[in-house]
Amino acid sequence: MAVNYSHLSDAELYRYLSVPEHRERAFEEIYRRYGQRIYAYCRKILFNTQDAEDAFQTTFLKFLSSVTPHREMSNLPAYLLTIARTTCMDMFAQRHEHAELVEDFHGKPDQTVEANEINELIEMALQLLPAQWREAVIMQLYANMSYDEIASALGVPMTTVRNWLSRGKQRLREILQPYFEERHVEHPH
Amino acid sequence: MEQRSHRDMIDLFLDGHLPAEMRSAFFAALAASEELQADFHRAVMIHVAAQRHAQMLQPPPALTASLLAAAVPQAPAPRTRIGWLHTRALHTIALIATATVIGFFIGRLSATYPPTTKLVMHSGNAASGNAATVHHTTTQTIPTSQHTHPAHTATAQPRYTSPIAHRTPGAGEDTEPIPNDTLTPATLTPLPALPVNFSPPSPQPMTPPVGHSLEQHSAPLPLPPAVEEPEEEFILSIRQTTPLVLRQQQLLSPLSSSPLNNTLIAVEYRERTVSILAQCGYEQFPIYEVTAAADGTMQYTLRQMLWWIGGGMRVYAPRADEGLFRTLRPMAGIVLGTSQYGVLGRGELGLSWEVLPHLSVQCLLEGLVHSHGIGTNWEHAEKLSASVGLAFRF
Repeated sequence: MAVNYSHLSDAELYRYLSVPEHRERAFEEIYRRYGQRIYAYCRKILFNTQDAEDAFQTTFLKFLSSVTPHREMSNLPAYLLTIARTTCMDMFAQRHEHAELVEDFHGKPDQTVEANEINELIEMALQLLPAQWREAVIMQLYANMSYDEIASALGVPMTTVRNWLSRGKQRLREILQPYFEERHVEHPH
Repeated sequence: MEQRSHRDMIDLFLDGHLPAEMRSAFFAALAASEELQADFHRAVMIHVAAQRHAQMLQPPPALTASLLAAAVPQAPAPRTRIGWLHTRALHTIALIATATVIGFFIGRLSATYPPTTKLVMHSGNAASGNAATVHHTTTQTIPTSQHTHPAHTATAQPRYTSPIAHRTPGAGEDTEPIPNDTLTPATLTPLPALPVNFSPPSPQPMTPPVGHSLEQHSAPLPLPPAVEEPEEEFILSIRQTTPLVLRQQQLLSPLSSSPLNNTLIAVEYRERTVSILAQCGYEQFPIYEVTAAADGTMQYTLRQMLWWIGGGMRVYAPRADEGLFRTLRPMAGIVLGTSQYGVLGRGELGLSWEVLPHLSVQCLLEGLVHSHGIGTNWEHAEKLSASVGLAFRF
């Protein structure tokens, strides 16, 4: 009987990773669900495309090598995010290549100038936030993680996550306020 | 305070976490405050921009393909760990042995040997006046590599004799043949083995024999060196090494205090200034051991200690007759070897302080490069270390 992997829960997919005949398709489904979010998190945390790709690859390889048949996976995205976070922190501590931070500030060709501008400003504003607030905001805005998943990944209560997110996003708005006011004057509508 | 709580509500509302009973109050506050509306507008702009940007951050297709390929179950590898008798290790050992032997002989042939050595031979007792005594005292130049020469007589064959018997006697020399019955075994006892430097038995100038002019022996005899340089010797050394620079330092954890940790043992055969050696070590070094699990997945295990064995050669600076370098000898060496995980190369540079005739202290600076396979890739690790130890020469 064929298994429809897209209908399986995260816990079921994780269990299938231990079964050789299901391993490939189960991993493909997990990758489809969370690959982009983990990649976006790595890109935003590390500021550097090459480092982010290395961290992203390492994250999923570590995940694959850590699969054990007897583990109950209750929060797969948080688990993946925890591996990604550890990998990124290790990489960040090793390389200290802040000089390449400007790389991602240059927008992609298919983006509009306005979108590039606001993304660059958000990127710079994120760097001004305290580390915990920044990490929570990146997980929520770019990796599309829920409060619960962020709390699991960071190992803090959900109320703390809510507080960090609220403070972090308010600070972002304060930092970007002059930009929005300027835009409002130029483009009132 | 009221405004602050409304600002908090903006984020909770956009995240879908604002409780239903608070929404009417939030909408009322939003309608009443232009400042709150502007803040809400900024929050929406940031949220939308970030979400759009996040959607554009997609992993490259090649990366996706390689990761999905990593999940494909593989048949258990027959043997991913490189054993001691692996073909690659055997080839390495054979290569090392060949290179070492060639290097040793090249070094030996190109070493600066003394071209000649002054040999003073004195047989018999010049003061006795016995006619049967052979009075051949001469200064003869012979190559040091020649240790055997034609015998003087048929009844006695001294090991170290001069070919003086073949020369033409000079004027005034006793050319009478020696009767066989006057020869006694005592007078033609084989000479003892000559030392390397052919030092005379006494530093005192010897009396010129009858029939030789004084000018022939007027040059002062060389004084023996303070310390004799042996032609060849075996050296057994044991050293403790300490890492100075290690690229993968963050992978290592502190070791338990065992006397075997970071120990090097070498056996060396030295001829003059060139030696060949076999060396083994037990050092702290980060190694990822790769094994295949039952389901075909590759397991990576970090090992801390590395056993290795190898061979190579060393070159010593010639011993000086006096001064600091009479006992302190700079040395350099190279060692190639194999561990249970891969191959390695070492370079050594340091000093050997020959404090006693049979004991030296060695201080070396060592660079080590180790390569081992992880799957189909080769991983390299490098270390710079310093070692101190004792060497026993015999």
